Amino acid sequence: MDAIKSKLADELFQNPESNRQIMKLFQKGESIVGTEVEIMGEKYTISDGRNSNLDKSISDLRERINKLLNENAEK
Amino acid sequence: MNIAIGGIIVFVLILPGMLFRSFVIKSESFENPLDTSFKAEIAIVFLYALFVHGLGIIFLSGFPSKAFDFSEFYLIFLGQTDKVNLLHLNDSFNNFIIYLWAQSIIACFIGFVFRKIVVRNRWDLKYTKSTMTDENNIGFWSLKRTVVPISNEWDNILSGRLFMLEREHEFKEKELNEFQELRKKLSNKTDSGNESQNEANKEGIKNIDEKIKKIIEERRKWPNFAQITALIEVNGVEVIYTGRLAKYYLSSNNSLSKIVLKNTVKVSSSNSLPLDGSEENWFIIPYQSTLNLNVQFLYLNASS
Repeated sequence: MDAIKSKLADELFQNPESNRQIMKLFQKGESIVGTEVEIMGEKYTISDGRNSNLDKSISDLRERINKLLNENAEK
Repeated sequence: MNIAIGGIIVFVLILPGMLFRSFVIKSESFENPLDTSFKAEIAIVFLYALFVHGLGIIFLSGFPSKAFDFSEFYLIFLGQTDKVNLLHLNDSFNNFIIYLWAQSIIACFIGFVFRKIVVRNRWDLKYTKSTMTDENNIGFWSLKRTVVPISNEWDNILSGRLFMLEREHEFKEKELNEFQELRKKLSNKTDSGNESQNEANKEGIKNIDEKIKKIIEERRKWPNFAQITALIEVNGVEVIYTGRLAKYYLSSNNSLSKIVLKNTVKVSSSNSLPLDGSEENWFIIPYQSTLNLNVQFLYLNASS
């Protein structure tokens, strides 16, 4: 069975610079989560899905609703 | 001789059931990578065959001139060939072959469609959240078999299906309920006396709906790759390798045969294979020498 594949991940490991960056961390046995890499001129952050932009998005949404509710309470 | 003919008849009659079973199992080949008992296999194959032949008999009763008689097979199976109308058997032989082909093709199709529906709706997966939690209060999840166990547990883990199920479910359970509660509170305040505040609330609800939709979509986004860290035993020495998961092979009894890693490096020092972590390097780990596997699914998020 084929594992999860993506063009972005292929680019990450095919690019010598980002590959070296990841391999260094792999060799040290360190986590690559949070590492910023450059792929095709764009900057990306490696995430395990938890501490991603999504979590920020969720907290922003929570903040926004609470702000609206507070405004309602004040008026 | 009669036993051999009887065996052939049984095989031919259960062939649609066997094909159905093969197409239902989520596998790359006809090999069964599941931990199913022989009794369960026989039951599924026979029940399917009995059911479709039952339907077949009802259907063929509408075409009495072209139909063949199942009772003739039964008599041959019992060795009472003298009671069989050989002339009728000979005439209906071609029809029987066509019937069998049709039943086999239909069985493959039904099996294939059934598997697609089960896998799409994840009826083959069931998980329970354990009471143990990590430091972030996020529960550990474990896989539980369901009534439609058509997939291998290792396949569910390594393909990321279980990971995705947890990820989506986590949002639905925790945040979605919370946001819906907050949204309800806000909805109750859209008919207050203050018109500008009502408008702001309506706009807020619209934004919330859009944002929730976006978050759900984001939660459904598959990871970009999986990193495997494996503790394996090489000549009595324990070595840790880590790399990107490229492929995996399943074996029978719900087990794993081997995993193939790319960009692999050796983490701990020993006299094992030196690796350069190159893209072209395929590192194959047989499952029997693996002591532990750590699977991590990773995303590449555009930095804002």
